[in-house]
Amino acid sequence: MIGISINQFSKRSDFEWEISTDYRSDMRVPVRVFASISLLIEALKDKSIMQAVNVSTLPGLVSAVMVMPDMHQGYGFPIGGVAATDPANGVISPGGIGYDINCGIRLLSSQISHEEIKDWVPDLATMINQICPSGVGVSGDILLSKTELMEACMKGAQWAKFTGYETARDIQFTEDNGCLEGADPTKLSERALERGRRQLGTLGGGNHFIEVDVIANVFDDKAAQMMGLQKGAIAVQIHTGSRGFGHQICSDYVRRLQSAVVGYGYKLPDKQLVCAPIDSPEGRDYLGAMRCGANFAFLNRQLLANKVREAFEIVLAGKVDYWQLRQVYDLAHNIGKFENHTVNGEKKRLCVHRKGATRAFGPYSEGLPAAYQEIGQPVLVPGSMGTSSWVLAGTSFSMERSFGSCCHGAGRVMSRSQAKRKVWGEDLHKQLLKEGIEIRARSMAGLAEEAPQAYKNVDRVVESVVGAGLARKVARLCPLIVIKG
Amino acid sequence: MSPHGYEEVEHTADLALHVWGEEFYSLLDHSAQGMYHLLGITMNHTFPAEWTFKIEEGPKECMLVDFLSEVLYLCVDKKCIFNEFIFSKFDGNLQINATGFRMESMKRMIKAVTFHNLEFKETEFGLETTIVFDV
Repeated sequence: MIGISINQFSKRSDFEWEISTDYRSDMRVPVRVFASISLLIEALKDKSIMQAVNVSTLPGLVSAVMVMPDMHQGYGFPIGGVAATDPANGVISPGGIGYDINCGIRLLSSQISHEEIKDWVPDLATMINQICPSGVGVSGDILLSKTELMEACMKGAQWAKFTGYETARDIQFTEDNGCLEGADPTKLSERALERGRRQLGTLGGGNHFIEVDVIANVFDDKAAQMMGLQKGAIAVQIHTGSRGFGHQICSDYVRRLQSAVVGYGYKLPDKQLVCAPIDSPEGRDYLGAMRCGANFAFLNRQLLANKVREAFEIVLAGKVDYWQLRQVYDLAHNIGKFENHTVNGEKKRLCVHRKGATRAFGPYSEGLPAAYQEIGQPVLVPGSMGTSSWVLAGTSFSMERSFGSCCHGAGRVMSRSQAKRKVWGEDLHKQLLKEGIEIRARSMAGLAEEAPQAYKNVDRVVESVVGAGLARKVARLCPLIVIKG
Repeated sequence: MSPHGYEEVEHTADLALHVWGEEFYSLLDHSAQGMYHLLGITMNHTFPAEWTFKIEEGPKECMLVDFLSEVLYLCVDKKCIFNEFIFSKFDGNLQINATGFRMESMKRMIKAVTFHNLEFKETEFGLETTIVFDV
């Protein structure tokens, strides 16, 4: 254990724990952890909770720093961290959003049954892999001019309308309609623009993936029906973000704020937590640039979704009646946004940082599509390759306890080098194939780094958020095809 | 301690490198070679590469992140890998003349060089620090 023990938590429920500000003199707010006791004890093995304690020192926090059960150690903020600041006296921290701005998940549903396409699953895997550019440093087939990129940054997923890559439903079923207002491309560096021009419509490497799943279980018939999810049908998940464009934006501003924090007199426990008042030249510039990154990511997933649709059409047209893929939802899990929440009985506009955490708005919340008003927002929780993924729905309780936030995945437990020591990529490939999962990966070492053993059990993570009341189960998905960069 | 001036440190999700050098410039050199090691780089020795770039002089932590960020950009975006760096001070900046080769292959991506807990320590052998990379 690193510096903090289970005895320092007070228990609020079986799935909610709190460290009070008495723990360390520089804490401004408590740290609230949503997890079962066993996941909490496991989390104490790395620095994730200590990183959350560091976050609790940021100026202008309105309530506890939250940590989700898929937490793990990051850099500055822990992964799974949520922090809300008051725009009047609070800060925005680029590290609280991360380098992969608007890394997120898109889920597409279909009316195709697994049974219907059993024989074409390998062909489908090969075609998706061929059409969707993936891998380390890979450029896409779309090369934008600087002006086009700046325009795309302002319009987000809606930019795809002009290229025939978008449907009205896709936009309606994307968080913030696929476009954050207030994006300001004049706040981007030349290098960010240069990097962004070549990377639109690409998956990237690392933990990014495209996964074709079968819907194994439905737990909430009404919500599943509203989302278009049927037991035994095929669904597709796309996990990627803003690529080198977002990485450059975050790098530029973390660097710029190193000197700014001195001017503002902030004393921070970690240089990666640098921040600026929301209403300051640095804060406004970062917000304008960060929203460009977020909009790029919405557009990137939009373009990839259409490449996947193309692959489905090439392989399945004429073989099944309906090969079309319909958007269930697209959401961000690395983002900073202004949202209305109730704090101590008062409705306030807050700047919510989510670093490896998903928005999980409950029924009748602002910004949900009409079809989801009654059931709450879909919360997409991908598992590790070879295990289940989950579709949940946000609850009213999440609005009260976690600023409408939930977990974003399984969460790592093993370092990449440890995973490579324990798992041989070729063996894992064979094992997954034996389980009926087609894998297309650029490198076997990369596959080993992302082995299921390197992650927590996603089912336990989901049990924790459901137990805590932050979300409820809608459906469980099992993988058939995994495309890794 | 490794003779290369760097060693990988375990990190749950990202990558970390412990680097050291007799003085600051050798530490910069070792950190670049360590980052190439983490990226799993191979060079194409038939195509030489040369690049000159500048970083602003300032706190060591900022100079290290600026230097590695530039080396990372030249690797990922320009496909250039350098095995020699010559450092010279120039008009309030540090000028770096880098020579090496074109990249042949890269096994994994590093998104960025972070400032997470970045601090230099003076030791009897020189300087050391630990750098966390976002992957």
